[in-house]
Amino acid sequence: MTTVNDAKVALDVPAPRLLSWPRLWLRLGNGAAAGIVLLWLFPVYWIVLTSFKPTVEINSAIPSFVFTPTLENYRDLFAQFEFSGVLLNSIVVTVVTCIVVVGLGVMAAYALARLKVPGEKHIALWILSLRFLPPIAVAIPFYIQWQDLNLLDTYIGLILVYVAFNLPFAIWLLRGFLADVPAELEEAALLDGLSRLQILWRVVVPVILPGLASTSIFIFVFTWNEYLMALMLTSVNAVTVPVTISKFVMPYTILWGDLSAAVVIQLVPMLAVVYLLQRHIVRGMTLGAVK
Amino acid sequence: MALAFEGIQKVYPNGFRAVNNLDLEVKDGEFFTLLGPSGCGKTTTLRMIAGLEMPTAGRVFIGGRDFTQTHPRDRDVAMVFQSYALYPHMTVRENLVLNLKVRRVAADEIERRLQEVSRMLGIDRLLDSKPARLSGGQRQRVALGRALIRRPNIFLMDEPLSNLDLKLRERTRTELKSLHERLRVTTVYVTHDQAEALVLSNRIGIMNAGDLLQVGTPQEIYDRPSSIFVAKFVGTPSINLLAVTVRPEDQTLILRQREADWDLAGVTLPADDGVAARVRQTGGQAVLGVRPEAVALSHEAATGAIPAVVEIIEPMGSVNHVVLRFDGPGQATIDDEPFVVVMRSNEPLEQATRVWVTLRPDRLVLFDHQSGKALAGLSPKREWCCI
Amino acid sequence: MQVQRMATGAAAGGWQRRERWVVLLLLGPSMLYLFAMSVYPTVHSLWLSVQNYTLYRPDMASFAGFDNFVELLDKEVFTQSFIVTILFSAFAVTLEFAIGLAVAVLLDRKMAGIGLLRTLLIVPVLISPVGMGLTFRYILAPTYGLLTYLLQSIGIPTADWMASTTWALPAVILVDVWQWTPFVTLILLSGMQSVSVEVTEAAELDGLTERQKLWHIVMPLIRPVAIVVVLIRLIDSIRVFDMIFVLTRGGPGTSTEVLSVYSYVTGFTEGDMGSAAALAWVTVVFVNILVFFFLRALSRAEGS
Repeated sequence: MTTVNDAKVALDVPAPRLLSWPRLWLRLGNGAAAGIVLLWLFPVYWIVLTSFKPTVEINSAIPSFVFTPTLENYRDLFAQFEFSGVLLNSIVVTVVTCIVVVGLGVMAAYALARLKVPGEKHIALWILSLRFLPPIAVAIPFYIQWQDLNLLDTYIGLILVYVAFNLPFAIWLLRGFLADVPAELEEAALLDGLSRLQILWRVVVPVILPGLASTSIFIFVFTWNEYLMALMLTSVNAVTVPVTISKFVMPYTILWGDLSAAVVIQLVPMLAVVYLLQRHIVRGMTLGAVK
Repeated sequence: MALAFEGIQKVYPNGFRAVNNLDLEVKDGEFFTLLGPSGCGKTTTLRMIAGLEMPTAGRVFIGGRDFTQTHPRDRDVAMVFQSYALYPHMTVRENLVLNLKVRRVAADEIERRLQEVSRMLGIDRLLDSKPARLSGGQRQRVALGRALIRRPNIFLMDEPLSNLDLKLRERTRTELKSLHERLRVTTVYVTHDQAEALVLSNRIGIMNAGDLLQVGTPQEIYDRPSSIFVAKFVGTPSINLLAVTVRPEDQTLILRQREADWDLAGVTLPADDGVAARVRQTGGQAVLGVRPEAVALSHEAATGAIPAVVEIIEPMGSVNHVVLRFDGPGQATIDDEPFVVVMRSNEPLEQATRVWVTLRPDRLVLFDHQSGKALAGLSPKREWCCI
Repeated sequence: MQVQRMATGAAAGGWQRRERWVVLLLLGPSMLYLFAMSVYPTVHSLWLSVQNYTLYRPDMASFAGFDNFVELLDKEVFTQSFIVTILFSAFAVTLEFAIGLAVAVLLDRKMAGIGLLRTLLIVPVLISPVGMGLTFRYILAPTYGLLTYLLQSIGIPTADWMASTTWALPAVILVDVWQWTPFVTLILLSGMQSVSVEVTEAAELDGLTERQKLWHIVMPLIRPVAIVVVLIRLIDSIRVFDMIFVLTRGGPGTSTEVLSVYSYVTGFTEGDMGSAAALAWVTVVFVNILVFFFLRALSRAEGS
């Protein structure tokens, strides 16, 4: 039997320090989380740093974090290697591919989404299988055929191939976005007096604009970074950035300075693009399996 | 503009019959409601008027002309969708005038109509907002405005009030009714809410499982339902259904119960009448439909009154819903539903007290107990008429 | 994902039939284009695989039947390449999944700036494999590479990783893991976040620890997503070309010569296009078999 006094004393005992452990772990966890992500990106940081180093520092046995930054690598890139031309090639090819793929893709995806096409499941599966094709399998025939058609080392040759590669994926993605547009919206437009094409252009496309944007971003990234096809189908005139980067690896020496500058330049548009992409990345990357 | 359906059928490729052989006429300027439970085919029928669905068989006439094969945009029909279907990327103004712009209406005419409609619906302050920023009620008005601004021949509405909360629903209901009084445009309205249908319509068409069961004014449907289904669907609380037998000697109705039968005094079938003949055809068994307000309760026994006990009293404000339990095992009603009576709340009644039930002749309906079809109804003047 | 259809009618007459044509017109160009651009190379490539076709003397091509395929099975280089590919895929994907899952669990939290951290995870994926490969080549270089310097300063012996037949494969696996683990993390993370909060709260009330919650509740629920991401990574790692080609060219010797690189070398360096095509087809078949098994596992994991 406790007296009132005993009870009061009992209340004065501080609560067990279980609370501090979870909090400590959480704070450790937060720091660890941030640390891991930032640490993981170290190679990126390193290559950016390298691009501003003078050659002497780059090739020295002791890597340095402190040095006098210089733009000589970038200047050399443009002066010695006509990088501006290469950059232009990449930009033209990528932008044109994007536009063509999204344009054709949204029309095809709309038709597939709204119209009952016979053998639709087969078409969908076929389109999906194209995504899993090793590029080398089709690279060889394209090389041979493009040789015959004189399309090697041209914008058109490369664009034709890139469009073919990206179109299936774009149709797949866009179909997913289109499925989210409620049918009643289009029915209202029908009753309002719009024709099918007007509906597509004035009602559907504005509504799926975010979907169009994220699809084109995927295409942009893929085409901008593509290597194998560009390697095989271009040589001097239409050569793109990735291929040029690999050319800095020469038989007896590697021009790390120019190389790192080129890698950084290639990376910059991608970073800008990610800023816009964020929310829709996952959906595209898992082929719509996760929203 | 008048509207007519001739032999309309809608069968889906998987075999599902959405609409069976519908013949319907909607008069010019009429407010006609298609009423029925979910999946009964009322929305499908509405969409066939718009041309959004094509009938498998039959024809659609608008203003006397066959419009079955015509494109929705050429039918001069406007529709308010259940989800409103406003264009999310356009402002309210753009939403409202798109259909006029597409039809190349002159700019000053567009402006005139825009002002007229937006003021009438009270959305003139919202013209530059986008749908995402509007409340449900406001969006509904914009959807309405989009349909109104076209001055169509026919107005279609697919459960436009179902997304609104109760107070707003009742208010908008009244506004819709006054709008119709003012504009007199032929309107076809779809809902599963029988209160809405009763309030708004000139005539109602009850549908179930693809069939049009009965067409009539709200009062007709209520007083003389053509079947048990219709009687049960319209009216709150639900109509009470009693199993009855006709006593051959004096044509009185007897309330059947497991152990005792009660004489329904004062309810006698006329001897030589079509009504009696029909009832005889069913073997003398029938179902009597008693509306909750067609019952009188007294605290004293009377001849022909049936004893019962007050089981539950549900106060509803100005009236009480009283659930009665008749003596004897089981329920008196045919489907074990409670027997509900509506009483004014200032009449004293207590739970678990004995009362005596007398049936008033208004709104009594006799149904065939097998087919559910109505046989006859008893009018307040104590006259039977076939239904 | 419910696809809304244009209204149909058995009568399907009138305006809907007329509109079908318009809609088909939208589909036409794409389908024709894709058909031409995929069927043609497929057929051509199949034809090549049964030919004796050399790059330098195309006029001397002759029919070779299944010789190319049979020869492949004989060649030690082929078996070697196949093994290298399997080793590469197996290790890379396993590591990517294990590490990716661990990081996902770590990042599945509310924290200031978590959005930024997750966005940063995309960066490795965005860099072209070429750029990435060469970056790592720089870091792993024997004389001036950062890693070499770090290891030496703590006394661990180093070697010229890229030139060593033992270390070249682990090195390229490292690069692949670096580039793609964040991708796996992102996908798994989004799967985790689609697990409804109420489910995890119910688990907490039931008394489960964090570890138990992860094992019994979260993992089973993200199984479909996990299978998808493993499938994608598996297939992509079998098809890998860019990064390896630019890092080691398949060397030294054939220690990193995965199937795609082997195919390229056969076709463009040795000029034997026929065998290269045959090889490419073997890879395609291999990939498709994998896809089939995984899709079956996926549909089983998602239930009926």
